[in-house]
Amino acid sequence: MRQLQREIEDLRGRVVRRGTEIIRLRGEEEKLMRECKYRDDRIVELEHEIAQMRGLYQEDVQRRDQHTQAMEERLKRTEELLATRSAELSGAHAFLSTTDRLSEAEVLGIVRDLNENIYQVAVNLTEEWEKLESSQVVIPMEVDPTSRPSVPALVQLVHDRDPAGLTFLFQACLCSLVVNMTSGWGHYRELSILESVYQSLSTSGEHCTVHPR
Amino acid sequence: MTYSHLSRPPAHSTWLVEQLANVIDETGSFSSTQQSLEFIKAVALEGVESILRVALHLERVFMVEVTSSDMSLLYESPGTIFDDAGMSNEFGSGDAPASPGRQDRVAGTTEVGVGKSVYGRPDEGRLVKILLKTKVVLEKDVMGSEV
Repeated sequence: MRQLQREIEDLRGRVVRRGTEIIRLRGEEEKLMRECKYRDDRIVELEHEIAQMRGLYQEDVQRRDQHTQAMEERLKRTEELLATRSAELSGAHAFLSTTDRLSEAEVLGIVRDLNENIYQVAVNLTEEWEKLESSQVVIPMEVDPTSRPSVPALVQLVHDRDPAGLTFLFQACLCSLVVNMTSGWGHYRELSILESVYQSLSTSGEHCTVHPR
Repeated sequence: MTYSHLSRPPAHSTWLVEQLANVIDETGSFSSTQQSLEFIKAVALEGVESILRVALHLERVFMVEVTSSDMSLLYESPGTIFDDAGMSNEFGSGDAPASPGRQDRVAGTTEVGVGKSVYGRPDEGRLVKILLKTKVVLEKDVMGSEV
């Protein structure tokens, strides 16, 4: 009987301890449940943060992509410009090549041809003028004697009806023209050769040698 | 006929014919400049155009075909003092210098010369090297003792 009572007491003690243990475990469970909830909430929070960060990151990536694309387009334009400029430079280089297409002797040949043409025109004009002189009533020229010292030598010869002077004056006119032509088209249009001849004489002591370029 | 990109030959030939007509006017052979113009056109228009063609060719040569140096035509204005370094005398025996103390003056250029710009020593800069002397008539030769 005592034995049974001891066992009952022992079982009761064990039940109490188990009950206490259960209470402790329930407390523990509640605690863990709270912790789980906190963790779940934290997970949700973190997922939200991650989503936000992902959005920011994607925006940043998008901005960088746009910047990269802009830089690539700029690079492409620069490369195209470089290609264009290189082509131009190549063309300019060919133009600026120091290799002459004509030798000095060939150039001198052209100039001698030019001088020959000038001489021929001057002579033809003079010859026809001489024929004219013998067949036509010539209107006398009135030259103011006071102006004679300022008249250039060749013009003076023409005034004196010297054929050689006329030929030389024609040559001088033609030479002046072609020099002005080959030294730039802008200058000669306003130039009257006879005026310039008179001017060069009237400014005594001053002389203007034409050195184009 | 080919022309330079810078040129309008008809205008040039007209201008040149007018200048030659002015010379003819100086002779007093015609009563009007129009008559002088007609005379020049009848006698020299073809020759003038030929000169223009050669001049245009030369312009192209100087601007495009000769690139190693600057070449140009040379011309002496009336009144310039004769300098045998760059001129030859139409009537001269060789290029004899003028008598001492005398400076001969150019009456007119009868043949154009050719010069080439080259670099000399550093202190000299660019120099014009004469390839073909300008041929000139001197006042003393055409005016005798009057000059």
